[in-house]
Amino acid sequence: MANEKEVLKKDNQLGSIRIADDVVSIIAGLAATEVEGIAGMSGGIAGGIAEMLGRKNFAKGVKVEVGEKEAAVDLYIIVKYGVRIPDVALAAQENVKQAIETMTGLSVVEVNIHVQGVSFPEEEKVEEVRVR
Amino acid sequence: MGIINRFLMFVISLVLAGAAIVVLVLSLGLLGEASWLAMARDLLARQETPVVAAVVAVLCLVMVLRSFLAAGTGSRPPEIVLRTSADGEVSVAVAAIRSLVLETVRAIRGISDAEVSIAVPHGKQAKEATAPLSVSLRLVVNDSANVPQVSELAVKKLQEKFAQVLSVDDIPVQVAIGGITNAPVKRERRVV
Repeated sequence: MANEKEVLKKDNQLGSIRIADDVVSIIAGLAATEVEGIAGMSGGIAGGIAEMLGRKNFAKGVKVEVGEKEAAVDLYIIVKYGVRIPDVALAAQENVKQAIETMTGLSVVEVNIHVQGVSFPEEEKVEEVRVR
Repeated sequence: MGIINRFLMFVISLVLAGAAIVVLVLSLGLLGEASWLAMARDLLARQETPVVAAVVAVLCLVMVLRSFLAAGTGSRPPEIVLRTSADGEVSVAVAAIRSLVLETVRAIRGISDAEVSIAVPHGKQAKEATAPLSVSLRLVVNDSANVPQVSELAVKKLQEKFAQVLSVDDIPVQVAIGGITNAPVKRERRVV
């Protein structure tokens, strides 16, 4: 029953608490997408096909290394056109670190941000009438 | 392993599994010799057989060649590191910078199209370089455009964009004019 990808967090008289790597990935992914300036996560071709088939993947674009007490996160993001990347990256690092530390108690040693693309705003399909 | 390599591995594994099952069935004598010889003769006589065999052979050769590729040539695109701090590293993919440059340049009046080349210094060059990257543009301009003005504007706009978006100043931008066109630029209708 032992799962290599689970982390033993606490073993006390009441039982043990195990946190799966995927849980940490999902927390990181959700925290990252909350940041203003991030258009989405970059998940590659496999992630894109999965989403097309209707399967939501909250851990898309996230890689985590989880130890007993610490975690390291790599985020692959797509930013909105025009935003200042260092500011967005700093906000993402802080938000992800706080979310993981609050929800899991793990200490986040680093959050590496990899900007994989820039998202441009789609043109309005309904043209507004400006003059008559 | 990248997605393409994994797909090739999947196809080849299926083919090998099928061949192994066939050999297993034949070796266990589950199929009479006369019947499997007739099936083999029929299969070899079909037109599709050499095509399928050639495709499988090519796929296997591709996988053999890729297995000799050095480790570390992962599927992730090349990146430029913007900042390293105690919180972690911030890097930007070259492809993202290319799309940013294209979008900025194509918005300039007088430029019809552009090709972008991004150079990232490595090794000794990286130590001597003053900027983390350099940009080369090959522009196609409209025949009514003032080429020197458009070129200067492109360089200025790009350096402003890099300072605003990447917080990197003085990125070298080289401009070459690749062509002049008199094709009308498609613009949205402004009035009804």
